Amino acid sequence: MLSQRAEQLSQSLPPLLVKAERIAATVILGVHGRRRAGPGENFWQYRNYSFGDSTQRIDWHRSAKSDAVYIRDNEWEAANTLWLWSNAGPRMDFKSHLASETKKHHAQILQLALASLAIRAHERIGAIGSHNRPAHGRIALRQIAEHCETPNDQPLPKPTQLQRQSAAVLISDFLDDPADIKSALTPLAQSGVRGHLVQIADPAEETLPYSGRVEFLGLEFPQRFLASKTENLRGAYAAAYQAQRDSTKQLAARLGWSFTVHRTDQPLTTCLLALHAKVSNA
Amino acid sequence: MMSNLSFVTPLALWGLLALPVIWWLMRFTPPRPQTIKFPPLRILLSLRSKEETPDKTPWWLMLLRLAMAALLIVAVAHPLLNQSATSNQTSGPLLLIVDDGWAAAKSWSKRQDTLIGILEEARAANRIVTLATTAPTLSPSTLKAVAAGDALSTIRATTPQALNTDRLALLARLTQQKPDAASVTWLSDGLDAGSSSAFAQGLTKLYGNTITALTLDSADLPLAISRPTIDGADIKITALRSPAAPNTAVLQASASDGRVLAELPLDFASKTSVTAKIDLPVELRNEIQKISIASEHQAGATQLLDDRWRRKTIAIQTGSAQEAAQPLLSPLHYVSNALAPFADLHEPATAADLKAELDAGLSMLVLADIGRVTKDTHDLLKPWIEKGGVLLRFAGPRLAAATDDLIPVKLREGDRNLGNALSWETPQTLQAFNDKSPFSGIAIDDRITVSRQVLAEPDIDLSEKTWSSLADGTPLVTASKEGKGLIILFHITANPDWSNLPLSGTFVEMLQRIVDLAPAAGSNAAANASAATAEDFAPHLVLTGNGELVSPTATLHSIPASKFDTTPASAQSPAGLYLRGGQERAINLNLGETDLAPITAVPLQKRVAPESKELAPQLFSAAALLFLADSLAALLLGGAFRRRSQGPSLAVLLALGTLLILPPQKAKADDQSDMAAALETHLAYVKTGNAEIDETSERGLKGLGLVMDDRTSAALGDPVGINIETDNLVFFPLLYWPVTENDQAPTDATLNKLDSYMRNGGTIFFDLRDSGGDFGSGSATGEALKRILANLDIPPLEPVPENHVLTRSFYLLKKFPGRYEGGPLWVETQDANAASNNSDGVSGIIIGSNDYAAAWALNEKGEPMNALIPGSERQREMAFRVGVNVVMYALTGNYKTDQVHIPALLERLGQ
Repeated sequence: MLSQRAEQLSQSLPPLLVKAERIAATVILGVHGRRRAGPGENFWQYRNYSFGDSTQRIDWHRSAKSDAVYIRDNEWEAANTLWLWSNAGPRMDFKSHLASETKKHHAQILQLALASLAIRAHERIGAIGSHNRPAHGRIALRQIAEHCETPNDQPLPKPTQLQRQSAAVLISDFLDDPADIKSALTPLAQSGVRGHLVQIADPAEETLPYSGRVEFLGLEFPQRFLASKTENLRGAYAAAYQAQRDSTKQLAARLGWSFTVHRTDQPLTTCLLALHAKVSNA
Repeated sequence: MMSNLSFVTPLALWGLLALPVIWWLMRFTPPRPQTIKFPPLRILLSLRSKEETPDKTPWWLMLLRLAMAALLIVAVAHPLLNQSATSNQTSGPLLLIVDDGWAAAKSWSKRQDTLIGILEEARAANRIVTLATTAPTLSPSTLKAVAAGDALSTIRATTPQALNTDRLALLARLTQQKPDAASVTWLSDGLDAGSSSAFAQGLTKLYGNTITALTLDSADLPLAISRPTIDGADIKITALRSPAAPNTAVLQASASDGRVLAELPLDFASKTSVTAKIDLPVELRNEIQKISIASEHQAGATQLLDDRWRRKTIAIQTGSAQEAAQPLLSPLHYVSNALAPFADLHEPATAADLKAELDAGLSMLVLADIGRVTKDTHDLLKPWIEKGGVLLRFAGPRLAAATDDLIPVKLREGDRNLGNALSWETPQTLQAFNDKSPFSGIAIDDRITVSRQVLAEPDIDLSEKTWSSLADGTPLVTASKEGKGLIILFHITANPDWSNLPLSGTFVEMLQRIVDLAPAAGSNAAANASAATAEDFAPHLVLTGNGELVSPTATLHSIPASKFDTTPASAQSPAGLYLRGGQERAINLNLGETDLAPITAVPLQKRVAPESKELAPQLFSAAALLFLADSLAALLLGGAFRRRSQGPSLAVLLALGTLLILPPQKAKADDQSDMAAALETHLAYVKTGNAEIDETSERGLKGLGLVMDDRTSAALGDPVGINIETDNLVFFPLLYWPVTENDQAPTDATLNKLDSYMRNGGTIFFDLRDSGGDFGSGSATGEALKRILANLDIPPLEPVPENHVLTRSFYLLKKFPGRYEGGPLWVETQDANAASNNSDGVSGIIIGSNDYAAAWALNEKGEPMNALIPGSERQREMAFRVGVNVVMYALTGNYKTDQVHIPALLERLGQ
C-alpha cells in the first residue's frame, strides 16, 4: 500500500518539481546575507592575520602578493525557515472552462517553486501540518512535494507553534467562513511569524460566467443551488465574493501579513515574482 | 364534390384524451438544468433569498410538445383525405361493383384506398352496401346487402384474381337477384374487355341513371405479355401495352427458386406491342419457370413455362442387343453420353414402352443400326414424325442390308469401304459444313476420318438434303422434312466401327444442334392417348392476381389430361402449374392486344376516381420537425448556446464559406490518376465501350482481387479500366482484354504501345468470351482477336503445356475453366530456341476463351453474378484458381519459373 503510493508519488513528482524549478529559475535569488563576516560562501573582506586565528584560514594567494598575511572572511549567511502550506481540499479541485488548470495545481506549483527558491538560498523549508522537521536541500523539497500529495481536506492550516521570525506562505482560495479563517490564522500570527496569504481564484469564481438554468453543486458538502436565471445573479454574487475577499484582506492587514491574489488564468511567474519580493523584503 | 377525412384505425384517436394528462405532467417538469460543480457555493447559498425559482415550462414549449403529441396520435390513426367518389345520391342502399381481375392487381392498394374512402362515407351516411366483384369465382355468392362496416372488412380482405373479368356474368346475376340500390358505383379496371358497353347498358336498364363509373389514373393501366414462342434457340415474347400505360418496362425470366436468369429492357416506343427475345444458353433456358414484367406484379404480365419448354425426351433403340460387358463397343454409348446433358434419355425395352413414350410426346427418337422397323412401329412412327417428331438414325450393317422408307434419301444396297486392303481409296475426312446446314459453324477436327459408310443414290434433291459430306462429296449426314418433323440419317454407325467421328467433340456438338431442332417434350403428344388419361393434372402451384405462385386451395379439382390442352384459365382451372406424375404443364392467361383496349365510351357518368391522400407521412414528418424544434428549445433553455464563444462558430462559417468559394481543383487529373495507379498494384482491363462487358470486367477483376487478398500475399488495389488508345499502360502487370466481335485493329501508336508493354514484362490476357471457342476456330471474337493481333509482333503460341508455370504458379491446375469449361489457354511457347521477345520470361500474351471475368464477377453482396456453364461450385472455385495463377504468374515473373526447376537444382546441389 505504502509502496504503491510512493510509486504514484514518484510518478507525479518530477513534472511538478521541474515545473516549479523552471518557474523558480526565472526569479533572481535574493540575498539573505547578514552583512557581516561569518560562516558563508560569499567573499566579505580580507583582514590581517591576528593572533588566535587559525592558520588554516590564511589566504596564501593574497598573502603572497604583499608582506602582510591575510585572512579571507566570508559573509555570514544564516538560514531562516520558510513555512509552506497550501489547501489541498476538494474545493481546490476545480477548473472552469475559462482556466487551463485546477486551482490545486496552481497552488502546489506555487508552493514548490517557493520551496525550490528557498532551498537555493539555503533556507530551511518546512510544511505546516507535516510531521517532518524543516530541513535543507533537495530532501526537503522532496518532503514538501510528498506532503502536497498527502490527501488532506483541511481547508485551513492547523494552529501550530512556529519559530519566531520565520516566514510562512499560506496558499488557499480562502472561501471559508471569515470567522473560521480568523480563528485559524490568529495563533500563527501570535507566534511571531511573518505570514503571506495567497488567494488562488478561478476566473469563473470571480465572475460567475454562467447563464440559463443551472444547478450548482458543492464540492465539499452535498449541497446544491438551483438558479433558473443565473445571469440575474451575477451582480449580487460578485458583490458577495468581493466581500469575502475583502474580509480576508482585512484580516491579513490586521495581522501585518501580506495578501496576494492569483487568478488561474494568469501566468504563475507574475505571482511568484510578487511573492518573492514580499518574502525576501519582509 | 366534397372531401372527407377517414381514419384507417380510428381507435387510435382515443389517445387524444391523454393530451390533458401530458399537459399536466409537463407543467411541473421544467427543462433539465445544466449541472456545474462550483466551489464558492457557500456564497451562492447566501443569495438564496433573492432568487425566486420559476419551475414551470414556458407556455410556448408546452404548446409545441402538445402539438407534437397530437400530431403523432392522429398520424397513428392513419388518416386518409379522400375526395367524395360517389354520386350525389348519398342515401339509400349502395351497390358497389369492383373489377378484381388481373388488370386491377397493378394498383390494387390504390383501389382499396378508394373503396375504403367510399365505404367510410357510406358508413357515415348509415347506408347499406351490396358488394359485387366481376372476376369469376368458383362458387358465386349471393349478392347480399350488408352494413358498410362489414363491407369495409370484406374489401380489406379482397385480393385480385388471376383471371379476366366476366362482367356479363355479373350482369346476369344482378338481373336475376336484383339487389336493392339507390345508387351504383362501379370501380372499373380501365380495360374494355369487350364487355364494358354492354355491361353499362345492362346496368342502366336495371338501375336507371344512378350509376357512376370510376376509373383510376390512366398511368395505372396494365402491361401484359402474350404466350411466348420458340424462335430457334431463343424464346420470343410479345409484350402488350394499353395505350397510355408506361412506355418502358423490364422483362424478367426467373427460375423456380426466384433467381433472375435474364433481364431485358422493353421500349414500346408508344406502340401497343413489342417483341423481345430471350437468348440464354440451353442449360439456363431450361431453368426458366416464369417470364414476367418486373414492375407490374400482376398475373397478366406473367407467363409460366412448363416442362414442354425445357425438357426434351429422347428414346434410343438399337438393333443389336449389345452386351453390357463391353460398353465402349455399344452403339448407344457415344450417343447417350453426348445427349445426356441436354435431354432426358430413355431406352424403351418393348414396343409397348415405345408407344407409350410416343403418345406422351417424345421429342426425338434415335435408332442405331435398325434396318427395318416393324410394321406396328412404323405405323406409330409415321404420324409422330408428321406431327413434329425428330427421328435420328445411324447406319450399320443391318441398315446397309435392308431399309424401310423412314430414311431421308434412297440408299444403295451394301456399304462403301474406304482404305482397307481391297480398296484403293484412303479413309475420307469431313468437308467443312455448308452454311445452310444446321451444323454450320461447328469446328471440324481434322483427325476425323470415315472408313465405311452407306451411300446415297444420286438424286436431284440430294444436295439439299445433305447436312454434311465427306471430302469427296459423298453425303455423311442427310435429312428430310416429313410433315412438321424431321428424319435424319448418319451414314455411319453410332460407334467407332466405321468412323472415329463418334469419338470426337464434333459429334457432341452435332447432336446438340439436332436436339435443338427437336420439339419440346409433350408438344406433339397424341390427343387420344388412351393410356395417359388414367391420371389427371392436379394443380400444383396457382398464380395469384399479383403474379405470385402460391399453393392451391383444396377446392380446386384436377383436370383430365385429354382436355388439358384446351382448358383456358378460369375459376375452375386457374392459371398455374399442374402436375401429372413427372409431367408439368402450365395454364396461362391467354392475352391478346384486344384484351388491353381501354374503356372508351360508356354511357354512364364517368369519373376518374380521386385518389385518397395519405396524410400519415406528412403528419409524421411534421411531428419529427416539431421534435427537432423541441430539442433545440431544450438546448436553448439549458443555456447550451450562450456559453459558446463566437470564435469557433465563426471559424466554421469562414471555413464553409471558403469551401463554397474555392473552385474544385481539376488540374493535373492525369498526373493524379497515374500516381494512384503507381502507388498500388492494380489489375487493369481494357474498356470495350460495351457497358455490360465493362461492368463484368470490373466486377470480375474486383472479385478476383478479393480472392487474391484472402489467399495470397498479393495486395491488389481496385481494378482500373483502361482506354487502350489513350491511357498509360506501364503501371499494370496484367491487362485483361475481353474481346468483342466488333473490335477493330488498333492504331499504329497503340500497337507500338502494346508491343513495348509486352516487351517490358507486361502480360495481356485476351478473353474471347466464347463457349468452347478457340481462336483458331473462326468464331466471331476469334476473328476480332486476329484483327487486333494482325500487326503485332507475336511470338509462336501454344496451348499451355503440361509443366508450364501457369499450371503451378500458385495452385496446381490441369484445366483452365472460366464461365465456360474446356476452352484452352494459349501462351508463348517456352521453347528455348523460339525467339521470345519478353524480358522476364513471362508470356507477354495469354489467350483464353472461357469468359473468365464473368466467372469471377461478384455483386455488392459478394455473391457470384453469373451462372456458370455447365456450372458447379467446383467450377467457380477452379475459375478463381485460374485467375490467381495468372495474376501470380504475371506478378512473380521468372521466379516461379525457377521454382519449377527446384528439384533439378536440388539434385545438382546434392552431387
